[in-house]
Amino acid sequence: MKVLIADDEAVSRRLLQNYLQKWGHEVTVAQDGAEAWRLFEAGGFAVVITDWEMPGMDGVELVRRIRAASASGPGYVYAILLTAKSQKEDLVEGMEAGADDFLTKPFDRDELRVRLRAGERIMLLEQELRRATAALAQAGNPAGTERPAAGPEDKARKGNAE
Amino acid sequence: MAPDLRNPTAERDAPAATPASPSSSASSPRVKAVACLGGVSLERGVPPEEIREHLREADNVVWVDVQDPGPVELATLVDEFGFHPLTLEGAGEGQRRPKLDEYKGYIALVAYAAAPAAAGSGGSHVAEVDLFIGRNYVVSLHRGRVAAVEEAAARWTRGGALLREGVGFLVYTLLDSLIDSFAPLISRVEEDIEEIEIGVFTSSDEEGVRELLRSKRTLSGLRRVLFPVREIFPSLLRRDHPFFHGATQVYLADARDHLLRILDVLDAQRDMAAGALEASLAVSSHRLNKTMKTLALLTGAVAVMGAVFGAYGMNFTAVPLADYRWGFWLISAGTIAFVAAMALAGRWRKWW
Repeated sequence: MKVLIADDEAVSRRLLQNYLQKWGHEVTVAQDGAEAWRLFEAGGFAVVITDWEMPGMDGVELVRRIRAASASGPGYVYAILLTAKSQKEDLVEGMEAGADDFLTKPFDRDELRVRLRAGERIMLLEQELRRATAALAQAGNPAGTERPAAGPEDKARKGNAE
Repeated sequence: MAPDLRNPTAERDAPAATPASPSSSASSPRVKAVACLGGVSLERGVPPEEIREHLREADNVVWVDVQDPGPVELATLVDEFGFHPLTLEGAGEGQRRPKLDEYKGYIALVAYAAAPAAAGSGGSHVAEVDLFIGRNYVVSLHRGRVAAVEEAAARWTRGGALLREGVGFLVYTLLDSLIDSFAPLISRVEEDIEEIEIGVFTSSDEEGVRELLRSKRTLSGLRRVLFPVREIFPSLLRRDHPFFHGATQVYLADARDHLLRILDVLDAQRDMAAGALEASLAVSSHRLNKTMKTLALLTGAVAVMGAVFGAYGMNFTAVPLADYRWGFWLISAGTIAFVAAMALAGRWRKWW
């Protein structure tokens, strides 16, 4: 998977990059939120792992923008907030902003690995769903009339049903 | 029943406060390594070849826990960490006094933890835990599973932002868990002593005294492994200590306070046990006195009856009142009245 890491702490960036590369992912790193957004816009990331507190654009704002962009984009983006914040309110705020998962620093390497694997499964399901939706649309509309694309809510509903 | 501080496999009447012998828990060595890298990530099950690499960076903290170390593991520790072989001699065998020795680049610390005895043995024992503390690592050695070490591992890995405090926070969680492991044992001894105290005045069997002596032995054993730990803290809390900075010293001071509190409780319990024993002896002596008085009364009664009936049983032709019609009844009634008067006098003086 193509993974974008956004963290202003060099140690975090290095560790995350090492882990993810060892687990077979293609990794790009950004030193702050603004750089991460620029890289994200350049495209193609399936997963974004971002710190919360960064100079300029923070992680929550980055997740909000990613969520807004992925709603109209070609595919879903799985966002993980990785932060030193550990309160329940922080978790709620981060998830409300659109993060799919929330990990507290110092994080457990094995926990990150299994959570990332869970994210990978969700991404695969989402791709399957997208393909199936496209196939259905084509089968039900052979004349080529456009059907409205499935929104994120529809996707989530279908995902839950599955 | 008072918990026995001894090898759980030993017989019940074996000397107390015996640490778990290595033979009782001899099993294959088990090495577990956990690393906190830069205060950012936690890695469990770090392979030996990666430990040296992690130790190169000062921000990393590595904890290597060795259970039941064999000669191979000890030799590896000497090679990898440069520990003096003498510091590893008899490690974890429970024969060493709690202490702290400073060496070049590391500290060797001997401490103890309370450990529940094997199922069914009904007692408890203490387990030696040796800590080797370096700038950014801790190596712990012990024989058998020690719940306090597992508790420390859980507390350390859940430490969150405190993990960034370096090796000091790890040493704090370890020492605090080791010290706190004695709290349930001490509270059990306290309950036992209170129960015996009540029993001193209601029961006369010797089981209470036996339990009391067992509790006293347990308390002495606990004191022997906890009291010297006090001497460890001044060195750890030194302001210019190279391994622990100001923030972690607050935590270490907290662990020292826990220890002092436990030692205070131990002293109080020792006084309680001594008081209960004295009370038990006093009650026994009082009971013996009462028995002696009752026996004295009985002896007096028998002596009076023996004297009177003996005198009238002699073969003289002229015995006073022998020819008197009511003589027999008069002598009998007089004797009974005399014995009854003695019994009443004893009762009045509360001899029985």
